[in-house]
Amino acid sequence: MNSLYKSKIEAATLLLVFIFTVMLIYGVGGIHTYGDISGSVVAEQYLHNGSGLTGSTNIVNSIVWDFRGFDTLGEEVVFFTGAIGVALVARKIKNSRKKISGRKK
Amino acid sequence: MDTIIKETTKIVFPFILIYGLYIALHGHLTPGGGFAAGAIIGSAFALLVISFEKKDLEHKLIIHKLIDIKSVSGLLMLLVLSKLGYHFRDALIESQTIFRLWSGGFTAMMNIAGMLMVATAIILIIYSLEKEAWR
Repeated sequence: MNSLYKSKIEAATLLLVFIFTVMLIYGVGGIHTYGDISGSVVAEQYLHNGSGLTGSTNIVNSIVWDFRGFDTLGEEVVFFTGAIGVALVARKIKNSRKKISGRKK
Repeated sequence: MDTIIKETTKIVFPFILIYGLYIALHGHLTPGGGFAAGAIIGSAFALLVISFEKKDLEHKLIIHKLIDIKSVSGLLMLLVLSKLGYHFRDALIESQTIFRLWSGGFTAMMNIAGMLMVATAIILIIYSLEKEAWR
């Protein structure tokens, strides 16, 4: 019973791996060659109208902080939450050592 | 630390701060931006904390008292609020000429806000860990 259950799970895993491999190969085949942006509407819009739409001549910066600004806002919030977590772990608690030693007695 | 490191830090520290501000203010013209500028300013304070001791820093730097979870988390609001100014951007860009320092519209403002955020986060990490070590 147990070995039958195991072999079923193994067969399902193999099937899933096979399906995902086929999907990945199919997806990678549709990617443009490096440096060729023809047919990609978003890339053409960024490159040709980027500095006119945002006013900044640094195209990378205009994408990061303006076109995809809300994504960057989320990154900043994640970074800041990490910093607050470090500060919370390393903060000074009043009389913490006395209380701990008192509990031991 | 050594006297050599202390004296070098005294000379170099303001220049690192000015370089970080330059990277942030020119973020829409030259390579760089808010993240890089914040990392540079944070590294300046890391140098300060490493080379000096607590008694040298505490009465000289106001940032030592400002860096606190309560006061710093207000800066998180600054970035969120600056994102709310999104609908001013078209009028701002039309009034500016490209390739000047006063250009970039919304991107320039977001660079400065992001620099403040990243710099305070790094300084908060460094000072809180250093307080733990000094205790």
